[in-house]
Amino acid sequence: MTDPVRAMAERARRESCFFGFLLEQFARAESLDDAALAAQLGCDTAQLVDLRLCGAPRPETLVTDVREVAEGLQLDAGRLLAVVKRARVLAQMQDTTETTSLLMAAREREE
Amino acid sequence: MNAPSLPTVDVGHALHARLLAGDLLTHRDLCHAFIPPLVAILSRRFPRYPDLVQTAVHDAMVTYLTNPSAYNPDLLDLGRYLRMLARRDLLNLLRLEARQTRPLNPLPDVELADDGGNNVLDAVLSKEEAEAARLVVQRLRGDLNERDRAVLDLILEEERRTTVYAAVLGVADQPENEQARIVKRAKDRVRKRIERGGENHD
Repeated sequence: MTDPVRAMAERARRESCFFGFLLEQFARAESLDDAALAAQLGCDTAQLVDLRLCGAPRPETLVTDVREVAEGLQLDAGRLLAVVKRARVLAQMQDTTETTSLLMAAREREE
Repeated sequence: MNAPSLPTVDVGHALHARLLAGDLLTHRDLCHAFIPPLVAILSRRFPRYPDLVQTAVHDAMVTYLTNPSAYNPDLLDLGRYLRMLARRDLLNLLRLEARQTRPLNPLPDVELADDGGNNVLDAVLSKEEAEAARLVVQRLRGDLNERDRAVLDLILEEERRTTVYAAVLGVADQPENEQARIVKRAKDRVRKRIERGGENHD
């Protein structure tokens, strides 16, 4: 059996309560594997496990949350914040695209 | 190598307080502190299902992290709460698997050590009897107040320590003989309800 904590970090990629969820959105959009993502954040892949397991930063306290997580895991706060902001923009873009597609489909049905 | 043990009650309380305060590093700390011992405990009881055990423990952790205020630290310590969630999720997963694989892989011998759960009922009772027992427990859960429900869960877990029941009942600060009296009365009350098939005739 795999290490259950590492396995939880893998699961964190698809659970929105974890930091891993945002990282996954960013990594997918940028086609990054773990090594490339770690390089982007200036950390090693082992640190990614702990980062994925942290709680997701809240929109209303985004900068403080990211700084606290970065400090707790001894990561570069600037790099982490850049990744998180990009992940959020990508998620918003995806939401907009999905909404537009739905609206277009509805309009086509009406016509 | 020694199996990992659950954190102490105080550690659990401290982590829960940090989580409620919004400390995002707590998620990681909870995972490191609770997941390995919970997997070890459930794996001992369900040795044939390592993957399901792990999934159930992960499910329990996600459930707790998503809605931490559903946990009441005055009623139960965090380790016991997470274990109950994981065990419930595991039994659901086992039932699902049993439904998918019957009759090739019947459920009865899934649990080595009896910890009082519904699948134990499956092992010792006929299908109809086990189903009836499940209905009684289900009816009771919906009917009992919060404290008696916690007592029911402890009985199903075969908990024997008076101190644990006393904590759940909120009488831990009472003298020992008084605790024992209150605990006995609560256990008798819940047991009587079980014997009556979940009906309340008081």
